[in-house]
Amino acid sequence: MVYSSRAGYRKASGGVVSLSSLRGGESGLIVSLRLEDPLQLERLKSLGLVSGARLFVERNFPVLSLRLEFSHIFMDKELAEKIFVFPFRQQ
Amino acid sequence: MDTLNLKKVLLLGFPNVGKSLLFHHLTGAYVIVSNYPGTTVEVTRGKGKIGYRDVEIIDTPGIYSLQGISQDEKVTMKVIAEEKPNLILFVVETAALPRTFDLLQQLNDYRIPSILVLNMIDEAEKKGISIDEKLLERELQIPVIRTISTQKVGIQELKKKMESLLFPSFSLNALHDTPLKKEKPLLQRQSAVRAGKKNFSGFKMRDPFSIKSSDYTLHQLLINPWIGYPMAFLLLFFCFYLFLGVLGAGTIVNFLEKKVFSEVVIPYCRLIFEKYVGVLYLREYLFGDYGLITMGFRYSLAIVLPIVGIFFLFFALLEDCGYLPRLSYLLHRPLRCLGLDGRGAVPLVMGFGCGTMAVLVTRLLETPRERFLATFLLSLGIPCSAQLGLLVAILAPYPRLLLIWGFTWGTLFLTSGLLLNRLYPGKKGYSCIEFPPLRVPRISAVLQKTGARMLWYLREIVPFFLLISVALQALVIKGFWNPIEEFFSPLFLSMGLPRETVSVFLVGFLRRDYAAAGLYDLMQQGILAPASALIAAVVLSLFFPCVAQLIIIFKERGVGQSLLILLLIAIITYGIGTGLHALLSV
Repeated sequence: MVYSSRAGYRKASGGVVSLSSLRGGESGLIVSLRLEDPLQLERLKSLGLVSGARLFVERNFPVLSLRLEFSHIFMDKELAEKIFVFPFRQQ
Repeated sequence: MDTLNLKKVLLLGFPNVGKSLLFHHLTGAYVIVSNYPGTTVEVTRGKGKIGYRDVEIIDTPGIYSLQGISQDEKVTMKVIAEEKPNLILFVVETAALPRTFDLLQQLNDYRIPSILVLNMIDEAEKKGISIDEKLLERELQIPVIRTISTQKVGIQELKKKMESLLFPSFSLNALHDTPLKKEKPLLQRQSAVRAGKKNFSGFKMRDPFSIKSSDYTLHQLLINPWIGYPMAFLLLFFCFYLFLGVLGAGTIVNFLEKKVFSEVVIPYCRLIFEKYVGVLYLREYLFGDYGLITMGFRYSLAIVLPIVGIFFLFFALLEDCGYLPRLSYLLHRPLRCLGLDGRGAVPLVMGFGCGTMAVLVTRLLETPRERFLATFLLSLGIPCSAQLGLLVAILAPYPRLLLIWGFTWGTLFLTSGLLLNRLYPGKKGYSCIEFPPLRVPRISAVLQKTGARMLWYLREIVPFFLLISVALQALVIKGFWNPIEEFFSPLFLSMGLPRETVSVFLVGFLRRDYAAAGLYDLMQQGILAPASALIAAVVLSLFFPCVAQLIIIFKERGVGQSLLILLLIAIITYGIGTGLHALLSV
């Protein structure tokens, strides 16, 4: 499959993209976290990174920083690639 | 401390919610910090007075859940199981209350009376969060107290509530605490929270994504790389050059060293000594070149303590206003190449002030691998404030040399870090780091932290300096200096350094600045050519850390890792010395 645009990619994957592909100013809803380590999952959960949580991407560069409902964090790109979100349409 | 028959109160909660400060408010001065047997996890115990009676208060490390996955969690669960506390104080950061529901639910299963302590209520109110305690109490079925631990607000109410739960008096009032409605407890309605409902019962807040407060904008500026990096650079420059250099080293040290020590303290001590003791043997040990008073005390108290103290002050300011996590954000990517993450910025920055304290601060890092790498970087290449100023001062008359030195040091430091990260075994985890809110630093907290660190320095570091000054003096007196020079001179010669530099480096274990000054002297005397001086400066700055830091490294990292670090440093230093020598003699 050839994804010629971001919209095309979104359509193809059922609308869900990895967090690392969101840019500054975009927001979305967390759908799933593809991680194996239970300790990590626990830690992320306590930070508010949980299925169903809304997030707002502040900046993507140099490091991904985002705002959740009850926390304000930054994370590695590798971690963001394993978090899948449903992006909200821009107003 | 006899705590056998006392009631026990346990403090529980996420990291960084203010448990320790609360612990401090509840207990008196008598506090014991101990490692839980078999672990490196620290549990703090103290005695507190609740309503005229003594209770034992136990502080646990911050944990995110009670599922026993991390060491901290395991120890906390053990403490609950073995010590059977009578009361648990569940301390939360009010603005993040919903995040704690999982832990609260796990706590419920233990069936121990608890109080929910809503700490940092001031910050929550700033964010537009309003709390209805009565409603929350009904929903969660535990008493709720609001506090601001940094301003001692709510502590009295908390103590009263603790008293009523620990030492219940049989009164009719106790009856009215039962819930009237049989509502499903909030915790079982968690899915409602997850699905995005922000407002429920006693917790109401504005839409979090619409917050555009002033500190949000400042935060935006700080993490913007175009502004953040120059700002960080300016900040460090301001700190080191102005604060540390001019104010610290220049004015204060000058005053203390010349006016106080040289003109008053030392002559006075000599007077007393001659009058009441007068033993020649001791005189050399006290007043000789490396004497206890002339070198040991004078150096550690009049020279290093003020410099380190000013650095601690500046660091505490940065800490308290919340800037450090923003710096961690900016340094995150570069630090990843060195095997650390944004969190590593804290010990490394601290290392520019006092390397010994920085090694202690590596405890904050999550994995043993990170702690090892950070310790290595601190020992190899981060010069503490005592060294930095002097090294720069020594090479200042030769700006070209200064540049080459800076360049060599920087490249070596980064290369070693990069290589070690590649070669040292262990997996690299992913990190996710929180931004606390920015705020105006509280002067009392800043002063208190600085004071505590300076006291720590006095108690832990000064004795080592005294010890090594006596040791060096003994070497001089017993005449071991020459044989030592003999022994090491071939090593130094192969780096192109004359044998006189051996004693300079030996002194470097005690005083790096003396070593630097010694190099300067050798240059003045013509014994050391500028090229060799450069080699010596590079080797000196990469050399082993001072004796205090060495001891702490052995304590924190253990013998094996410490020896590995020393070996690596020795190899790198010797290699660079011979390499530069070969390069420069062409």
